[in-house]
Amino acid sequence: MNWPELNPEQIPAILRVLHGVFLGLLAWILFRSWRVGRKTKQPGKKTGHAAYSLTLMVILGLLAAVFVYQATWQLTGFARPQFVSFMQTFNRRPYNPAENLHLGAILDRNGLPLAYTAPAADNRRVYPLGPAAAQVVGYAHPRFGRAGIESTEQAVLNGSAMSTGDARKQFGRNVLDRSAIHGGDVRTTLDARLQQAAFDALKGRRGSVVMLDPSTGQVLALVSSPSFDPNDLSPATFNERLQHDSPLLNRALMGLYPPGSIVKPLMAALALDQKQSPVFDCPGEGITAGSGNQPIRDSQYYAYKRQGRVWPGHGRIGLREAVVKSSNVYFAQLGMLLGPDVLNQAALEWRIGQRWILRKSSVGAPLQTVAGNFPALKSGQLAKIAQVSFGQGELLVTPFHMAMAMSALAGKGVCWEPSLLMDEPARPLNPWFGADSANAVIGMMRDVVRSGTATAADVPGLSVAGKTGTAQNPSGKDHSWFVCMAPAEQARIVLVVLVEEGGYGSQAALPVAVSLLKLAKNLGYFRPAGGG
Amino acid sequence: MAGKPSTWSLRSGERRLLIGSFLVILAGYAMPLLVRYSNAPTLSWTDALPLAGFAIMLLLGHGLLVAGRFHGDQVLYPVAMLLAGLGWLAQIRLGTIDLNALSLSAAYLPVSGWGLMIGTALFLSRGRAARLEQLSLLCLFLSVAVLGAILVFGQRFRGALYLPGGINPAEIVKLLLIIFLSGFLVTFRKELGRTVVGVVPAPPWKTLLGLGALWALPMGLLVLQRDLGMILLLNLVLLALLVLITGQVGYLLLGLLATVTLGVAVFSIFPHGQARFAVWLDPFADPTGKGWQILQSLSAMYSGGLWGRGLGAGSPSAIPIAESDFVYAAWAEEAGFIGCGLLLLAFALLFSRGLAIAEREKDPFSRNLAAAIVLVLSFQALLNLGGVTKAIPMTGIPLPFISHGGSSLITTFLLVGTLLGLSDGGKPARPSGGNRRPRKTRRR
Repeated sequence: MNWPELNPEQIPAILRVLHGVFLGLLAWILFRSWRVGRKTKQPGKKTGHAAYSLTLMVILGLLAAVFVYQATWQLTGFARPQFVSFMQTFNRRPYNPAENLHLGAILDRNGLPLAYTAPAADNRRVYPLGPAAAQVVGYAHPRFGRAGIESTEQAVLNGSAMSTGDARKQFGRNVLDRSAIHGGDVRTTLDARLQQAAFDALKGRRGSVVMLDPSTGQVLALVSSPSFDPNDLSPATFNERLQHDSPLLNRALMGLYPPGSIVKPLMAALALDQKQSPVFDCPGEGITAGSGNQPIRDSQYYAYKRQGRVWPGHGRIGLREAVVKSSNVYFAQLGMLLGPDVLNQAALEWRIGQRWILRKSSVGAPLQTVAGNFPALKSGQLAKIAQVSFGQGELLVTPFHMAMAMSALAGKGVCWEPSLLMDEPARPLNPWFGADSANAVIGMMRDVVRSGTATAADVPGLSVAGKTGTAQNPSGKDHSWFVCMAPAEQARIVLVVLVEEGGYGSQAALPVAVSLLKLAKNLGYFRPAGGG
Repeated sequence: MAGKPSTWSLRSGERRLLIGSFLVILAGYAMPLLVRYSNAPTLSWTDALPLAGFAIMLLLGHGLLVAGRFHGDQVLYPVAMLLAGLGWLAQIRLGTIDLNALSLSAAYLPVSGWGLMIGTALFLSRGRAARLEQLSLLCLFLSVAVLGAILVFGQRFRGALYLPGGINPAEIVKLLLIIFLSGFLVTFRKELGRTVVGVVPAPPWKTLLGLGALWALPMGLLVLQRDLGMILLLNLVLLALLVLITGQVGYLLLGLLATVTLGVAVFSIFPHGQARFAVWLDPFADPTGKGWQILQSLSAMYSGGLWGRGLGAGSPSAIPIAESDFVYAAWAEEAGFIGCGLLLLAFALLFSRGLAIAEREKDPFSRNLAAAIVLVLSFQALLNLGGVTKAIPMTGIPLPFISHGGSSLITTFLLVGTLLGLSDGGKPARPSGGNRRPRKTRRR
C-alpha cells in the first residue's frame, strides 16, 4: 500500500493542530465528567462529615502548590540563572529553548553597549570594552556564572523583572513564547569613552580610576588595572596561580590603601569646621609626637638629604600653605590639636569603617566596596594620632571611598548616594562638612594646582582643584595618588587616580588624571548646563 | 418506560464519558504516530490494533458493569480509564511500549489490571465490600507474608527488591494494609479519639501499643528492604486516617514529632536518603552527577513551556529512566504546563469522587476504606509530583496510572476497583444510580 508523502514542513503544523485538539478534548471530557459527577445522585445520603470536604481541600491545595512551584521552572525558568546555565551547558535536546534566551544589553549613559548578546545562534555575550570595564560590568557565562552588573541586574537582563509596564509585558511574552525570550536592557551611568580612556591611561600598571558626578553621585568610570577579558573566559582566568597581580580584583572597590597626603584636604575642612586655623612651626628636622618615637618629617627632608643638603623646613605656616605645600609636620600637629575624639567622630561621619553599596541586587550579592580601616584613637596615643592625620599609620581606604570624600567637598559638604544605574533617583547623604569649610578647602586645592605640587594638572580653561598623594607603602615603593575636581567653582567631575607603587603622586597618577580631564572637556562635561 | 429504569439507561452518563475518553486517547495516539510517520512513511493496519483494543476494553467494561447491575459511581470508571489511557500514551511515547513490535505482553498488564478492576468492582458491589472488615487481620498477616517472601527470594534492581520476573509485590501491600487499618480504626475509634486537656490525643496504652506492635511488623520488613518511599507513604496514610477518623488534629502534632525523630534516625541509617536530600537542596552542586536526573527533568519542563511540544515531539530520552518516576517530566515537556494542569485535574476528579463516595457510606469500615484508598492515591501523586518538580526530595514513588511498572499499575487498578465496589453500597430502596435517564423519561 502506498502512503502519501508528507511534506516535512507541514508536520509541525499538523502536530500543533492535533495537540490543540487533544488538549481541548481532554479539557472538555474533564468538564463533562465533573458535570456528570455533580448531577448524578449517589446512593446513600451524605453523612455530614465535613472532614471529607476538608481532606479534599487539603489534597487539592497541596496539588495546586506543587503546580505553582512547577510553574517557576516550566514557565519562568529563564529567571533562574543557574538553571539557564545548566540548560545551555549540558543540553541533550535537539530543541533547546535555553538557546533562545537573549539577555538584555548593558549600556553606558549614552546608550553605547558595554555588554550585549550576539545575535548569532550561540548567544555568546559580547563585551565591546573588553578588559577596560571587566570588573564593574562583570560577566555572564554559562560555566563561570555571573559577576558585576551582570550579576546585580540579572533579573532585568533575564527578562524576569516586573518593575515597569514594558518589563511586565515582556515577562508575559517570555512566559507564553519559548522561542524567543528577551531580557530588558540596563542603562548604567558609566561613560564607555571615559572608562576606556582611563583604562588605557593606566597602561597596564596596577591601579585604579574612579570618576563621579558629585552633583548626583553617578559613577562615570570605575576602572581597575590589570584586568581580564570577559570575552575570553577560561578556567585559567580564575586560577590565582596562573595570574599575576590579581586581575579579577576590583581595586577601586576592594583595594585598601593608605591615603597619604590626599587625606589633608579632609583634615583641613575638619579643622575649619572646628573653627581652627592655627599656625604651626614646621622645622626642617621634623617633630616628634610622643617621646621615643621616630620624628615626623616632611618629604622634602629626604629629597634634600639624598642630594646631600639640609632641608630648612617650611617655618611657620598656616592651613592654606600647609595644604599647598603638603606638610606632614603641619598636619601631624593639627591632628594632635584637634584630639582623638574629634578625629574618631569625623571617621564615623566620613563612613571610613563602612561599605559603600553601589548597587543592591534582588537576586544575588550587591556590588559594594570593602570597609576602610580607621584605628580607634585614644588620648595619649600621640604617634598614632599624628600618623593618621597625614594619611599614614593604620588608616586604610579604597579609591572609591576617596572619590566619595572628594565629592563631599565638591558638593559643598554633601555627597550623594553612589549610583550605577540611570533610573536611580539621586539621594543626598548627611553633610560631612560645612559649606564654607568645603569652599575654602577647594580654594586651597585650586592653589595646589596653580602653584603647589600639581601644577602639571592646570588644564587651560578648566579651573582644576586637586591634591597629590604619595602614600608610604610598607611592602614596597610608594603608592601614587591624585584626586581632583573641576571646575573648582561648581565641580562637574570628581576624579581619583591611584597607581600602586607609582612613586610621587605628581609622577604616575597625575598625568592619567590630566588626560582624562582633557577628554571629559572634549566630551562636553564642562559645558554650562543647558548648553548641550 | 414505566417502573425501574434499566441499568443500561441509568449508566448512560458513564457511557458518554467513556466515548469522550476514547476520543481524547485517539487524538493523543495520532500524535506519536504522525511523528513516526514523518520519519518513516508507512502505516499498517496493526497500528490501529492498540486503539481498537482500548475501545473494546472501555465498552466491555461498561457492558460488564451494566450486566452486573452495578449501580455505583458513574465517573470513576471513565476517569480511571482516561488516566490509564494517558499513562499508556506516555509509555508508548517513551518507548516502553513499542508500537513497531507490538506483542501480547504489552497488552497483558493493562488488560489484566483493567480486568481486576472490573472484577473487584462487581465482586465488592452491593455492600459486599463491608465484609472485608472481617478479613482485616488476615490482610495484615498476608502483607507480612508477602514482604517476608520478597525479603527471602527478592533480587535487587535499582535499589528496590523484586521477585523473579520483575514483579514487585510490595505494591499490593498498600491495599492489604489499608484494609487492616480501616478495620482496626473502626474497632478502636472511640479509644483513639480520647484526648487529655486540649488536643493532645491520649488513647489507652493497650490500644496504642497494640496498633504500634501490629503496624511495626510490616514496617520493620519494609525497613529491611530499604523501601523508604513505601514507609513514608504508608505512615502518611496512617496519620491522615487517624486524624480523619478520630477527628483529633492532635495526631498531626504527634505525627510531626514522629516524622522528625524517625526522619533523623532513618537519615543517619540510610545513606541514599541523605544523598536525595542533598540533591534536593542544591542540585547544581553536582549538576552532571547526582543532580543530573532532576535537572534534566526540570529542563524538560522548561522545554515544554506553556503549550508543550506535542506528544512525540519532545526529547524525553534526555531524562534518565523517564518512564518510571520521572514520567511526569516527560509529560510536562510534550503536553506542556496546560497538559499538566489537565492531568492534575483528572487526578483531582478521581480524588473528589473517591471522597464523595466515602462521605456517603453508611458503614464505617467502608467509609474508612474509601477514604484510605483516596489518601493512598493522592499521597502517591503528591510525593511523586513534588519530587519531580523539586518541591520536595525524591521519594521514588510512582505516579498512579502514569508511571511504568506492572505491580504498581495493577495495584492502582485494584484500588480504584475497590473504590468502585464501595460506591455501590447495595440494597437501596430504589436503584437511583443516576439522573442521566433518557431524555424522554425526564420530560414525561
